[in-house]
Amino acid sequence: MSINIGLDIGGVSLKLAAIGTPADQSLLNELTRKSSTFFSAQLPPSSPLAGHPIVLSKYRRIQGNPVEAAFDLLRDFSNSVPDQKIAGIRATGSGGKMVARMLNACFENEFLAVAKAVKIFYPEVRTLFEMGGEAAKFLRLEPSAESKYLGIVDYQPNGDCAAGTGSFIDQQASRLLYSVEEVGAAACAADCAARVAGRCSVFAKTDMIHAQQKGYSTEQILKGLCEAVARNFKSSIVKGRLVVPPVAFVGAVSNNQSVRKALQETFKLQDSEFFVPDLYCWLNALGAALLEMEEVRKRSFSSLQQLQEHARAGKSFASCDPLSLENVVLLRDRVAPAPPLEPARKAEAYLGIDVGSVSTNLVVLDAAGRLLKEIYVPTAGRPIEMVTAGLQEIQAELGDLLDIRGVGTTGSGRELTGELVGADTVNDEITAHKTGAMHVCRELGMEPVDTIFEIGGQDSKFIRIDHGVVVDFTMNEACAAGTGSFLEEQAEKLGISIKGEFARLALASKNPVRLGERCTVFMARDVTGLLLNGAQLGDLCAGLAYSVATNYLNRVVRDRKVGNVIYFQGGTAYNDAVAAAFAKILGKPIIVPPHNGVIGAIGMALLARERMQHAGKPSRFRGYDLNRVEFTSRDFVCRACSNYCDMKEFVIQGQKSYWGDKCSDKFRKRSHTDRQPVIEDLIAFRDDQLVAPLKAKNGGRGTVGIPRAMFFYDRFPFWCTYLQKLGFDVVVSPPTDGRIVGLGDELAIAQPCFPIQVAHGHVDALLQLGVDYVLLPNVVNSETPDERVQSKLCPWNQTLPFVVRAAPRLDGARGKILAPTVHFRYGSKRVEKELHELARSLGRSSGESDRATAAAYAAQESFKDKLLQAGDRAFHTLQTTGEPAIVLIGRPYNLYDRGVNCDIPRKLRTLYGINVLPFDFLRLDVEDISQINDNMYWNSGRLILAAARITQRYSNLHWVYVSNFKCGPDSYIKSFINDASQKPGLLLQFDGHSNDAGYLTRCEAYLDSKGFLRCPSSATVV
Amino acid sequence: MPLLGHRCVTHKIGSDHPLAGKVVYIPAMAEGSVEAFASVFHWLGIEAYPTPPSDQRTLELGAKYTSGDECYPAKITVGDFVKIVEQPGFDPRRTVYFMATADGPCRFGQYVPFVRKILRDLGHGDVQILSPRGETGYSDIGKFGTPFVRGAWRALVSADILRKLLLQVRPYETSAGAADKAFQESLRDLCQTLETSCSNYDCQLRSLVNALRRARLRFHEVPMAYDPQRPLIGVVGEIFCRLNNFSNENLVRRLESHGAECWMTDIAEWIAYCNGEQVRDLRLTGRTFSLDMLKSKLRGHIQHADMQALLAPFAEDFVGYEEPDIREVIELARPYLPYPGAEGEMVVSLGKSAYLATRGADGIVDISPFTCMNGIVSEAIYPRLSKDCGGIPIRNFYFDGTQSDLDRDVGIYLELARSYRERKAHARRYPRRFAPCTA
Repeated sequence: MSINIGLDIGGVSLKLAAIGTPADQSLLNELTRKSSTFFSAQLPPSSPLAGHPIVLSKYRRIQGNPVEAAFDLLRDFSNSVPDQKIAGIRATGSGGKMVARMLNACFENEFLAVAKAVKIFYPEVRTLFEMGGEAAKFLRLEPSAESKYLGIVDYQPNGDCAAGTGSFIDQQASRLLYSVEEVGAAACAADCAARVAGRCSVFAKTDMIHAQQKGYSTEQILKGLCEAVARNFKSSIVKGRLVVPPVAFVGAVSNNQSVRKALQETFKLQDSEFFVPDLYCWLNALGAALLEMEEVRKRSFSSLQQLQEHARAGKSFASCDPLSLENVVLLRDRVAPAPPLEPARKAEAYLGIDVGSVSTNLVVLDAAGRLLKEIYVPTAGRPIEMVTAGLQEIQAELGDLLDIRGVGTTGSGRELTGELVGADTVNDEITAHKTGAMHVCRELGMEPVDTIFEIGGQDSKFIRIDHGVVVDFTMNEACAAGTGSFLEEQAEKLGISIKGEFARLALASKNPVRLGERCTVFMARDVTGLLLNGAQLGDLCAGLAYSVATNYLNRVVRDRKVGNVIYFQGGTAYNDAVAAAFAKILGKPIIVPPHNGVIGAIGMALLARERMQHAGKPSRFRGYDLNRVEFTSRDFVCRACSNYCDMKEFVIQGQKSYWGDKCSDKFRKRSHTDRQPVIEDLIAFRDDQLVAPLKAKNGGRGTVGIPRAMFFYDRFPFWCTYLQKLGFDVVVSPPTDGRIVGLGDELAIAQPCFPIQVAHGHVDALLQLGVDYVLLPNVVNSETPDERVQSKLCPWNQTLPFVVRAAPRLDGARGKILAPTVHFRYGSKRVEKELHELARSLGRSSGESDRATAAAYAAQESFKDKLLQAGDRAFHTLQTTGEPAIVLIGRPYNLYDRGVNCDIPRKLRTLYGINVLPFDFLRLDVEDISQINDNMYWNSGRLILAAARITQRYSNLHWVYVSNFKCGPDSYIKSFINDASQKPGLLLQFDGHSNDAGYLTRCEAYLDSKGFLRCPSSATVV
Repeated sequence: MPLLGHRCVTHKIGSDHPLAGKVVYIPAMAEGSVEAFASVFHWLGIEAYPTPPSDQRTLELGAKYTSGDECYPAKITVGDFVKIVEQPGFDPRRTVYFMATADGPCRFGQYVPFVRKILRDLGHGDVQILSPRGETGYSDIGKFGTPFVRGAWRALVSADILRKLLLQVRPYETSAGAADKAFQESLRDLCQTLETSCSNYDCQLRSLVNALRRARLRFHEVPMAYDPQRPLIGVVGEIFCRLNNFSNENLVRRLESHGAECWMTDIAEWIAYCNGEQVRDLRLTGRTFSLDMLKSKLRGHIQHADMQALLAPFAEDFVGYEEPDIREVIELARPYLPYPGAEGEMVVSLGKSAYLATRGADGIVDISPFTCMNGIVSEAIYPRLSKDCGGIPIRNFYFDGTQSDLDRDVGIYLELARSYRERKAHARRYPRRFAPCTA
């Protein structure tokens, strides 16, 4: 009774640590000799446990069955060590609870376990970073030898977000055909890193996919991923917490030298301040063993046999109806094989290519639109290679028989591929899918489709069609719940094939587990949890099929009307279980069309046919052999602005095309349309007017910095004029760029909305510029014509100065922050009074302040008037010409901060020739929104709904609503915007995600469905 | 003990009253409070019930009718309301939803227009929403507005007291379930007392005080073994999530089972804060001397007096457990979220945390819905507050209905609280029956 065992059962792996007394040395030596699983740990002689033999188990994955894995490991152990030698067992980790219960052993909180081990083995450590398979932790320790407590002073688990953990790296690495163990070395070999946003694993994943499509090498992406994981660990786990060296980095991920390096750089730690302990992976198990050793009231654990019995016993979980195919119409078998081609003459044919995040599809159609060939392959991060291989396959099989007369490309890699193969038309996926689906029903003589559920790898789309016109559509907004790659990852985790096996298991399940609606990241963890608790594979598969369908319906389709002829297509439609889940939930038949995975490519071949039949010129197709297409690529960094985008230049037969820029300012992509705007560039006009009051420095009483964030975008004329009138120079922080976003990310403690984070960065940037003061007004409310309803700013806007002031790193600068409280709603007299205190603190009199306030009001009025007058002119032009326009709706700091919105608002004009009418150019104060929402107490909300209401009255006005992820008010306002506008519009949510490709797709599909992009020829495609 | 020469009468609404024949459903925010609140309706002759207990169906319906970005309490409330729509025999013309509201700046005030829109889209736009706003908002209750407001205040304060007793006793009970039983019995007693109470305010107050005295005795009879080593954890945060055990996954019980005693911020404090905000708005708009101001002050005065009367039997029991005056809370928040520029629940959370720290609490837990704007602002400021208060551990717990390893978090958090306990500067005061032996 002298050996204590600690078992650490995580979501991914299992470790054992056993501590004996000196007398057990030979017994444990025997164990390590006999079993290759166990090895002896060497402790330094100074260790308080010197002389105690310690045995550890090698890294072992649990493969979704923790109980069995624990049983196997303990059996290996007890083969050499008799039960009566074991004093106690203590389990820790996410799977530890269940195993502990079955063994009747103690369960230990893993924080306490790891802190215990650190206190004993590495007492000098003050900060611990842990990245394990599914868990990441931050711990700050001030252990004292005397106290019985572990001296934890601060801690943070990864909580609701799985980014920054081993599984995330694991998942991403396997997408790129790397094993997790290889990532570190591969990433270290890369010269530069692709930019991967790290805040949420879903966005990070999307960034990686786009980086692949932009042509980054896999190693560069892996390096970017490692950096993202490190950055994310800092921004979402450590946040603004104090990191005191020496720092120990532990957990399985600490084995990854690239993450190690990235962490050290991210936290600016010297080599002497940062280390990975020898026992990096076993601290939790050791801590559990140590705590068990100290336990006075030992429990007698039950025999291993019991564990095995439990492992076999089934359990019950909340369940839903079994899936069934009775309401699913599978059309796969209803298509006739393609007619044989005559070798004598080459058949007229059209090529459609859809390069998506997860799959790459190619199809060849004949002149009659019959399918001659389809290819569906995983993109695997190599779009160029996949298209090359696909074309080679087509050439080998049909090359001699075909005359390719037109090529169309779509998907997120459409532009690169389009350039490479010589596409005649490049379209967004929604137009492609609609065209393809309508073709299928016409060919099969079926009722015309009115609803399309398109679920691809990363994007899911919902399209409603009425008489061949897209009347409504939506795509997943910054959320990948309810997409195919989610299921794929889960299937991989469960160790089953997504093809066939998944659906077979799911459809056979009698008790699908009720998993509910969840974010992808949470779901992954739930599934792990259920698995850890013994749920059956089939029941989980069926539950996941339900979840994807529910996520899709609740998060993508939401309250939109679902029609009666529903086509379910995209790669996920190969999975019959998902179709069955849709049928069950909706109680409507679900039709899975033939070639469901390549409908988009079919649509593109048809669009190419349509275009070429009208064009009367030869196709730009460069031929099957892309290796013969002369293309070179070169990496460089665009330094046109401080974003420093990583660029790739492709030279394809002398034609240059560029990829990778955030703004497309310097390397303007070709316009997608010949449309020309009829109104002036109002965004540029506003940008100029906003800063018009700013004067050059004249060495006045000092400098006041104004962050180019939040209130800057609507009230800069006021504050600038006020301060200048008081004799101060005004300095504005530089435009939002990666550096400022990064500064904000580090400075913000909690996780507010993205614009607030950015504002933190601007304050930091100003302080670094050495200004005397930074103005951060505490603006409580705004002017409004409506006296009945309040006109407040949101809590984050209101409290910005107080929150910034609390940031620990700005401790010294607290006195520099000017935070006057102002209530604009209560009129100029009130504001005048409120500003006295500010003036006094700047050494100016109340009289001077009053004069400055009057000038400030005049400047603000003048700004507003100029906008309204320009708006009137534009509005008049639009109404006399009848030209369509987009009314741009949103908070000014979302609409006008190009670093936040990927410059999409301006691109609407520059890329597509759209008339863009920002909402603050409209006379919003006369609109009454009380019928839509009678208590819209946010002024921004009132203006947003008023603008939407104006679009209701004009058939040529459409709307795009620019919002940001986590915007509190917008989460409600967006529910009312359709009531106000009575027409579908486009909602774009930005989140610091650096790629514009996904946003542009949404824009294009929206513009196309509203007729902005439709050229006369393609309008007749249907 | 009736008033001298007084005959008890209970005035009920007549058949011509707008709420006659209707059924009012009240979101079950806080156990105890909602039942007591419903009793006030019954007292006036109006049929009213808490919404049925939240469950999986609540979450499913909530998810169906929200986009997922709204706050978690909205999801629960919507789910619970739509569940009623789904009940067989649902009659939109008879159904009334009670839903408190606000004028911002946080999202809570949007629940009413949001619920109204959902009902409209469901084709039940005629379902009435009873949503009192400020001093004019009780017009739906007609001439019973004043008794309703006063009765409701008394009901909520009384329920707060019962909860306080429960949290004070339950961690130390030696017979499992005894404290909960005392709570349930006392709650039933309170509700019955309320429903049958006299329309005379003084008489009603007396009967309520008597009901609370009986509750006190019940709790005193709970067998317990007081342990001065248990850390005391103050609970602040968003009102719904903090008080609604379904939303917060029984966080208080979890804290207790890991060895803590909790001090929950009650409902009365929030009402007092809202009253104060009204006074501030009147002042800011230059109506310092107005009828509205007078009314507001008077109401504050009456409510304070009622609360003192209801608390009177507990002078001894609540030594060291005194609730602060709301002005003190606002004052304590001033260094972080100054008056009058900061408004909303975050001010109360910050100020109350500082107050609890000086009362010798060993830790503070903030319970908020995931993405709650107030919670996130508070979270950003807590580190500074904690530093100023001798390093008291303050922890945000966010909830959105997804599973997470709460027990692990609670376990580690209490390790911090215990370790802070060894070095904290503020000693606690104890009621005599708990006071640790100093000899």
